[in-house]
Amino acid sequence: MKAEQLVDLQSQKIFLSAINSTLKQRNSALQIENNVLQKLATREKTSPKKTILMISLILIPTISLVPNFADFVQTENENLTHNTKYFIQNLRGDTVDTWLHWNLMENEQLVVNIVNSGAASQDKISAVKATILSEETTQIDDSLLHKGPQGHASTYYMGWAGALKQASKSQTEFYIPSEFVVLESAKGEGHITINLVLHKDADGYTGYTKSITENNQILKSTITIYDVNSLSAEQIATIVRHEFGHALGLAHSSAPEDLMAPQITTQYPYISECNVDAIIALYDGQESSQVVCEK
Amino acid sequence: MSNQNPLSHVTAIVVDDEHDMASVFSEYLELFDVKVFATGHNGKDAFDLYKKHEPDFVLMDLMMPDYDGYYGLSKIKKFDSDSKVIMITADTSHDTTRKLAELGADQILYKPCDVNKLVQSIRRLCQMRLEKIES
Repeated sequence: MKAEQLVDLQSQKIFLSAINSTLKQRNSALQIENNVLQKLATREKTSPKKTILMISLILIPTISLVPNFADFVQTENENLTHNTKYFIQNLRGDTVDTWLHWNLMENEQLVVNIVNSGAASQDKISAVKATILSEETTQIDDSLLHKGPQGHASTYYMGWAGALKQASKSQTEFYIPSEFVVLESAKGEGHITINLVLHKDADGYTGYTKSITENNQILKSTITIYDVNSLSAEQIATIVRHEFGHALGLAHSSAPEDLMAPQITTQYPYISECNVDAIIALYDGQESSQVVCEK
Repeated sequence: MSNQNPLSHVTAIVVDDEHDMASVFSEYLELFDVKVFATGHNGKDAFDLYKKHEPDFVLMDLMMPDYDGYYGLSKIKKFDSDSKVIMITADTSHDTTRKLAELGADQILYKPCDVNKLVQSIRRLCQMRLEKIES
């Protein structure tokens, strides 16, 4: 009986720890929401056009969802074409096709929330998480991606955590977020939310990123992946990896073999060293600029 | 758009002779918006509460005084063969596992419990139950 009680106590400890951890994450997410609301409130106080500005925040996505960037993500194993769109909405009501960055405090965690994780199977959720949290890298021969001669390889990152940690090694003007907390909460809290939805987008898009911005910084990004039941875990990972790049502030790459190309045709849809360079440049104040890939 | 927490409309009863354990399980489930109708402390409570509330699933300890988990599981399954019952035990013996399977336990979790496995089990069982209701 004592043994059973001991095991019960161990179980209680595990569950209490899980409860504590979940509540801490939610508290952190609520604080972020609170910060965003405070920023909005401050802005309302200082702007004479506050009513108009707040209305534009709500209405513009509904009435003018003309994509600034229309992507066609072709997945590696199937000849399916997935249309994705990327939309940055300025609080002033403008839409801007520029690179914008997050402006987090040093060591602040970027909270990512998969708001409806029940819509997809566990392997798909794991694939989504891996695109964010993985620090795994792979070496791919440059000749395969038309970047150089055979025998020379480049490093690719499977997840943004690894890529951003690499980027963080460079000194930048703004803090590059490289620590993530991934939640599965229906309440929509967090810096970046990922919606996995079962229905198809009326316009045929399979991915969509919308960022709310102010003063050239991102306040919140929302990624929507449509028709998740028709996509494999690998396909979802590719689309999320691409959309997450937008959510971090990257626009498109002109290199057709790059993950951030408008049309993803590469068989290696991973985060390239050029993507990392673009992040470094972006967070070093080079907004609206083009980063030339060294390879 | 399916934008709902998959467990937000799920209902449960929790049965464990250790009151603290039952409370901790309930607290944890409620974090996922599972509605815990009631907690019980033996197999008879489990059956009475099941009849009263007919929850989506039952989370029940096996070793309990007087009326154990075998009793509760057996009575619930006889009352409602579509019921979903997750049994929790520290006893990993083959005999116990076999007996629970014979009585129709839908999932057996071994103490100390893995929280992720519990949530995954609930999701899977509730999805199965939902599919059965819809068909």
